[in-house]
Amino acid sequence: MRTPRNVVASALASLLWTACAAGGPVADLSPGQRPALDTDEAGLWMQMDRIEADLRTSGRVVRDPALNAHVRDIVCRLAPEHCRFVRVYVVQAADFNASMAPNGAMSVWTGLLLRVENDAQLAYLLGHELAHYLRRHSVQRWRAMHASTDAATAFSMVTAVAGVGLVGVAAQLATLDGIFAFSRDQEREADLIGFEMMVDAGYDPRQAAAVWRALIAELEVAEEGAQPIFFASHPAAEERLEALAARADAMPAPQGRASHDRHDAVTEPYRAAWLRDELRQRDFARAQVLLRRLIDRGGDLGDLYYFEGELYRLRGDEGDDAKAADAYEAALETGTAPPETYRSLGLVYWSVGRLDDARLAFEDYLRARPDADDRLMVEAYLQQF
Amino acid sequence: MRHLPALLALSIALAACSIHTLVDENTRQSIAGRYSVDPQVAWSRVNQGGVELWTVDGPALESIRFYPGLRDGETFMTARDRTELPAFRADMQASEIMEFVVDSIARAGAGQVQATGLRPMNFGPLPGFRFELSYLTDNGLEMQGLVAGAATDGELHLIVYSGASLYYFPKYEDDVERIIDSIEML
Repeated sequence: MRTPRNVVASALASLLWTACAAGGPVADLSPGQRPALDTDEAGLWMQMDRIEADLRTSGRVVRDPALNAHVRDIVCRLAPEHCRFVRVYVVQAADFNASMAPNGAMSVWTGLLLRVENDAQLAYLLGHELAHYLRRHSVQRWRAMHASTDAATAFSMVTAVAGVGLVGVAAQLATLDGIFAFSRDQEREADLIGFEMMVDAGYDPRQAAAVWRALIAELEVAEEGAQPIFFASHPAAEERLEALAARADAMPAPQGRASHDRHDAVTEPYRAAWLRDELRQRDFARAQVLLRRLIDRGGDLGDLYYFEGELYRLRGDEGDDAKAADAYEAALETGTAPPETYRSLGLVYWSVGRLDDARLAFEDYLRARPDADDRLMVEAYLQQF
Repeated sequence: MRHLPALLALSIALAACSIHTLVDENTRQSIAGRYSVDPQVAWSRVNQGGVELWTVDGPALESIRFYPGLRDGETFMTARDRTELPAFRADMQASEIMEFVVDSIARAGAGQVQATGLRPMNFGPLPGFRFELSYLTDNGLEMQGLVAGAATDGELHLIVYSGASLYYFPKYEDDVERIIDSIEML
């Protein structure tokens, strides 16, 4: 099986075989345009096509038609003339990330969809990625790098970056996106173009800055070395927030778009699974900020308090048992908590020696979930009290 | 040059780590000196950092892994990304151990990991648990698994059998059931 490092190494090796022109401005991509076969850009596309073939069959690609249609519809509203040449892949991965390969393969991670609050925020981010594609930033970056260093040095720099492990083949496109580490100017240009695309398509321009406002809060508490991948090669979030907010302030607010917002409804069936993916990262400080934001937005509080309890139970710091129990109790008071809340509450009570409360919670779980497939285990727990 | 003996020792040690040996199907096998089992099948056996891995067709298609005596704070698998891995805690109940296994497999890169049918079942003479797994690999291959384990004296014993749902998992499923039934503590 090819590893990301191997794939990237072969991609770059093939590029090294290709005599390439010095860096410089290139024309925007026309709809459906493919690079001439005798160019370095064609070599890049060919390698991306191979990686995309792996991605297409990956177990981490989410294939739900409604979710894919949601992302795709926004891409098509942003760039109608290019949309049939762009392939969208929703990737199950808990991080804020999206990437756009130069051949038109776009990957959007579920961690991004979880954090985005509405169609407009997603439109801004997708517009940003489309801008990299349309402006052919990858090949520009490669040529600039090749022109400024000798080929062997460029090769070793790039393969070193490629060795950063992510989540398998699903992340290869993102890894390659990172390799070509777009310059700060390219990022600013993509921000600007993404912003213009969302405005032209009728989305609320103020939402572009709102994306960064929310992420800065997470960024401030993220585990060291675990900052969102999207930030790795990008200008500081604060700088982007200020630039986008100033631009939005200069524009009139759009009329009548909010009523068409589908993001919450389309992603709602997935939110619990995506929150579970976030907790699996064990970056509890970041997950806590995210959960608090979702709670403040007033989503399904039964679910959200349950996950807050799960966070404390899994973290297991001093005092977390009590915080977890409080969160589970709050979840149950809403009347919409999942039945698993009782089971988790039972486990927490058990761990602190409140055996009567644990017994009651486990009994409540079996009542609330009569067809529980772990019934035999929970009944075995009850025999110990 | 004075590092040469150390380098040689390291390379020999690394080579030893990947030596596969054939399991004699008719002889009880010791698992890290903690318990023994009847192997049923002439598996190819390799020790990977204290984990016994047995396979016939290759680990990508099917394998049985024995994790003997995982201790508090230890992790179950290696992650491909950068943040902290789920770790075993000595006070975990079976529900939490199942969660620990599922989260670890997901962090190792599997997609759509599901665990079902958690139930009590003895692990040799120890009170233990069983559950079933399903997940997708990076390549989209559908995998099935079964997990048997027991936590005792602050240590977790786990046996994880997994294989491609199509053909390979069912191929040795009954043999693995008999292996688990044959556990005797040493």
